[in-house]
Amino acid sequence: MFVTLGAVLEAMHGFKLDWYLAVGNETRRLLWRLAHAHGTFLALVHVAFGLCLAHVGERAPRIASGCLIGASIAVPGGFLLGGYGAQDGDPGIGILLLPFGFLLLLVASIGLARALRA
Amino acid sequence: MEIVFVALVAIAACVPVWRGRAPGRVSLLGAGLLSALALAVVISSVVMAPELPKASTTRPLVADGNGYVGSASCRSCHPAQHASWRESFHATMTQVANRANIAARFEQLELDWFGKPVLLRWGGDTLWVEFERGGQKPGPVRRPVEQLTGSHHLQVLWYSTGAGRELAPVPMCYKIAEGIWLPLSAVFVLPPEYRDPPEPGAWNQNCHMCHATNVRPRVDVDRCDTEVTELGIACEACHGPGGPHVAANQNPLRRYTQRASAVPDPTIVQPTNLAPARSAQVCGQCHSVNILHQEFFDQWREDGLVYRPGGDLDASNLVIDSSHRGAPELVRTLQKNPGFFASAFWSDGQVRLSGREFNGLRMSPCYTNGHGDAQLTCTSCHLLHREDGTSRESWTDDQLKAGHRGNEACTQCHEAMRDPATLVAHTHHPAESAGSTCYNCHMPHTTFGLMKATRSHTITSPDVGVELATGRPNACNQCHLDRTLQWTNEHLGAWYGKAAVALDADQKDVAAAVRWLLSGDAGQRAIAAWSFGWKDAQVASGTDWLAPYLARLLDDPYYVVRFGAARSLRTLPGGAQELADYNFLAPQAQVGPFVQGIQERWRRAYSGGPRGAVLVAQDGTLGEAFARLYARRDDRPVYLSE
Repeated sequence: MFVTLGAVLEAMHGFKLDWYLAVGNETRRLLWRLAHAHGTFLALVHVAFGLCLAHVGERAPRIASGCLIGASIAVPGGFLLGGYGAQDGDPGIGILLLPFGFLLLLVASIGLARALRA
Repeated sequence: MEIVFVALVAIAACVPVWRGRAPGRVSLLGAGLLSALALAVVISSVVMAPELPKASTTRPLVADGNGYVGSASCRSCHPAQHASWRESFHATMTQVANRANIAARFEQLELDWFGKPVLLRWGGDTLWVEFERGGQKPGPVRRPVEQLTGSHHLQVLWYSTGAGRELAPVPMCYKIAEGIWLPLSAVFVLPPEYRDPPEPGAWNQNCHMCHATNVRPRVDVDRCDTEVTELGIACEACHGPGGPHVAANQNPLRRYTQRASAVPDPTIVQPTNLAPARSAQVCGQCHSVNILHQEFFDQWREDGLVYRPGGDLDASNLVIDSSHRGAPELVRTLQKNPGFFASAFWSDGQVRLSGREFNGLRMSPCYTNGHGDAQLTCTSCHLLHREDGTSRESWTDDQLKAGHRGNEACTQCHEAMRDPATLVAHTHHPAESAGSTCYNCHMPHTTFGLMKATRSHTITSPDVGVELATGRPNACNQCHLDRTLQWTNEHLGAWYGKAAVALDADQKDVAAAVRWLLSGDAGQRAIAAWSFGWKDAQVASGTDWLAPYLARLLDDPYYVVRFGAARSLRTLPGGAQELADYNFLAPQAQVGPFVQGIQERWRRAYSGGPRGAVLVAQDGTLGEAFARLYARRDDRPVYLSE
């Protein structure tokens, strides 16, 4: 999905769309690039999470898994929506998803760590 | 700085490895390598840090002050507005003199300043000027050029005199479109004996007011320590000091609340939100003939101008019109130049100088009689930040809104004129012709500056009586160059019911433009010379009779009139060829032969038959009236300088 987003961003570069490239849309461009980068990175975290599950005992970290899925939606989603409503150098209101996403990511990390120690 | 920070964090991350009781070999090796790399980064960043350029001590210092913070502070929140401002010629009105900013490309030049050499030579990245200065502080000059004014029509070079931060103009300037160097005094309508450029300190005491942002002159008898917030006309010139706005809006909560609010942010001025009259004053602080009220002189000398955008310009500045002849602020001006009013204004008070549109606007019925949103103001037609879809080239020229080069500017209020039939019924000209362009009849080119005529910003209707009273060319005859005032009288009477004005024999029989060109003062001749090269006028009047008239001005006493005549002549068939060797700055003896030569060649080739109104006989000779009107040339001195 986030690879597709990357392709879309590249296409907007290719077609020189003002909506994305104009100087006034600098904040939107930055936030969407961050959405792409964080989404892709979190996809890799999912892979790492899956590999770790082999070392977890019988109690699967379901909450951590749910939180990671939530973070993978909220973090890039926050950047994406923040970029959509960006105005005068400030992100749109959708950016508020971001701290929520990072909180979920933190809970997922702690949950996985505890499961690995158990 | 960021690199140093990351490196320090990397070193800190290695600390647990070093302090561990039994670190493995791999960990030890990794931590050692990482620490060494990070240390190397820290040391190299400190040792090899680029040296910041030192602020020049011989030109105005760029420094914040009076709550002004500079356009860089605006960029992060308003990138699009910042970018469109950077595209404008306002941004580059004043620049540091360097290879990138100087419009002319050269390594070394020897220029001719009325027979005296002016040498310009690059020495590394510094441009040096050498010449013999005249005026009140005569003597040889060999100084670095440090600052530039203008990047659109003209570029003036300023050298530092070495007396503090004092600047003085190089006597030669660069005309960008033509790619020529010419004496600064020849750019303006000035009597030919005016050859010296303004005195040293002119920028620090005068020019800065409109060519830079928030200037503190700090000039005195023995001191010149000028400071500016920004070279060029930057964001805060129109929006006011940005310091409080920047400070307040560092709070994101405030920004989002403000954005949702319908009330404009009180910490900054948005000219389009001001009442039309106040909004126009923002532009009028520079685009008017004005002078600071006397009681603010001392304050200005130290802290700069008192006016702030959004404030009342009239409270701090006298926006001059003809009623101010006795104003104390003008005593010095009038002592220096007793003809100031007669030069800068037409006799009815309309301004003659270009770039002073606010004076014109204030006399316009659309401004004086307008009310609410229907009151004309600068931003009714002009847009200071380019909108999407308009080309940079067309917008930067005069910063008009899209479509406002045509009738859209007027039809936003005069809606009935959108209908072609109504328009034609009003103008009596075809709908798509120049005669149906509102500007051409109601904003004729009757102001002059930077070697060209520009449109008056006093909205008027053509009036023969006003022309006779003031000498200001009327719009009809500025296009119909070959028509008489009698013809205009008749048409204005038939079409608009205007009462006929009594005319003398010449006014009845000789084309009005011919009389301006032959008998007018230097300002009228300059406008006539420009009008003869105006495409719309050439279409309406024909071009086969223009050459001998323009040739007549090739040896005019005023250089700017000669320049305008030559420029218009070059638009005629064969004109460029005939003027290949013409130098408008040459002495009378050298330019005189061009007059006779071109007139004679034109006479021999003429086959258009007799044209009474433009004094051309059957055989192409120019009648006795031509010589008689030329002998009546108004030679009173005229000073139309910026």
